[in-house]
Amino acid sequence: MQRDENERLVSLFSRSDFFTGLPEHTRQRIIAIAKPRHFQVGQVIYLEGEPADNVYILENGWVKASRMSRKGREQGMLFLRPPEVFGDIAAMTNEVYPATTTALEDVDVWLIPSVELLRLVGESRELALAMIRRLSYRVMHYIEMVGELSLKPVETRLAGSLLQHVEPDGEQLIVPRRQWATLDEMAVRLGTVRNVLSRALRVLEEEGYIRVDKRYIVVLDLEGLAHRAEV
Amino acid sequence: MQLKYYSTRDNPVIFHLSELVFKDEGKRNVKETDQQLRQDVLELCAAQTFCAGRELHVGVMNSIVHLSGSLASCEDRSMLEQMVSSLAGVRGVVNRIEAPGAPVPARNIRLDITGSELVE
Repeated sequence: MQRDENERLVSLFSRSDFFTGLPEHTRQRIIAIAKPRHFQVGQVIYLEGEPADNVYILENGWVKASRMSRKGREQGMLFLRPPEVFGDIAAMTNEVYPATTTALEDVDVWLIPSVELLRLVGESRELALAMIRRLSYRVMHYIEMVGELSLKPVETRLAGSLLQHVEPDGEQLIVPRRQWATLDEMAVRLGTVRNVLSRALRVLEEEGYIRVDKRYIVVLDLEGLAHRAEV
Repeated sequence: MQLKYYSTRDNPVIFHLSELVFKDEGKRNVKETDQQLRQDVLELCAAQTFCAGRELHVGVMNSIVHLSGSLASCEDRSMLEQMVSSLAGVRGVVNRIEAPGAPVPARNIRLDITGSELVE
């Protein structure tokens, strides 16, 4: 491995709780087997139903994992930003990938062959514990998601999603809209369709919680939005 | 052999034991069917000259075939999609293959191939 690649990985690991908790020799072994790959916006990283040959470490860019229903509707499962690890659930269960992962922006990832990772997990107690912790977080994420999709109406889910991404901008609170955050992508994320999402945004706007601009959404009433999100 | 389950007094729900046997068996069958379908699609691709030297990816989930990678033209892309959809057992094709002129991000969906067709 070239020196700059090595340095990239060291830097990436230093930003990730998952890797900082590992012993140095385990990190070095991961560095030795990881291979860099670049994906352009819109490219598929892996497909649902494809053998889970690799686990991925996300270095740059956002990715989306989604699943297609038999009726052609797409459900967002995960929206990930660096530093993240993905593809690990299928690798651990020795199954096919359960969802298709696509690059929402230009993306840099590092591939770790699943076989190699499983071997390392068998040898390193710390890595095994880190994997268990990660997979537990994923289970919690999906439990949360089931609750959201089955128990909460779209406006409530939208309010919750806005709260998760709100950030200060001068004297106001905004939710920045990334280039890929089209209405369609937002709908996929919330488990609905574009028209319903449009209506939900209008409802929250009419109720005075938000104002929708082209580049961002301004949160006008944070407390009210939290109440609306049932949190 | 049949099992009767009474949801209400007058409306017995009858299960055939063979249908109940056993959920895991059913899951395994679906998995094996998907694996076989994936193999069929890979063989189909390997036999096409327009796929030669191309990096194509194939995934199959619940008999729906997912395709990605790249091909030289939109015609090749459509032709492969047609060929895959006509394979026995394929219930739908999600075509994410990149090609010049194809939608970006590439995603065509052909489902319910034997019935009504949805193309997005």
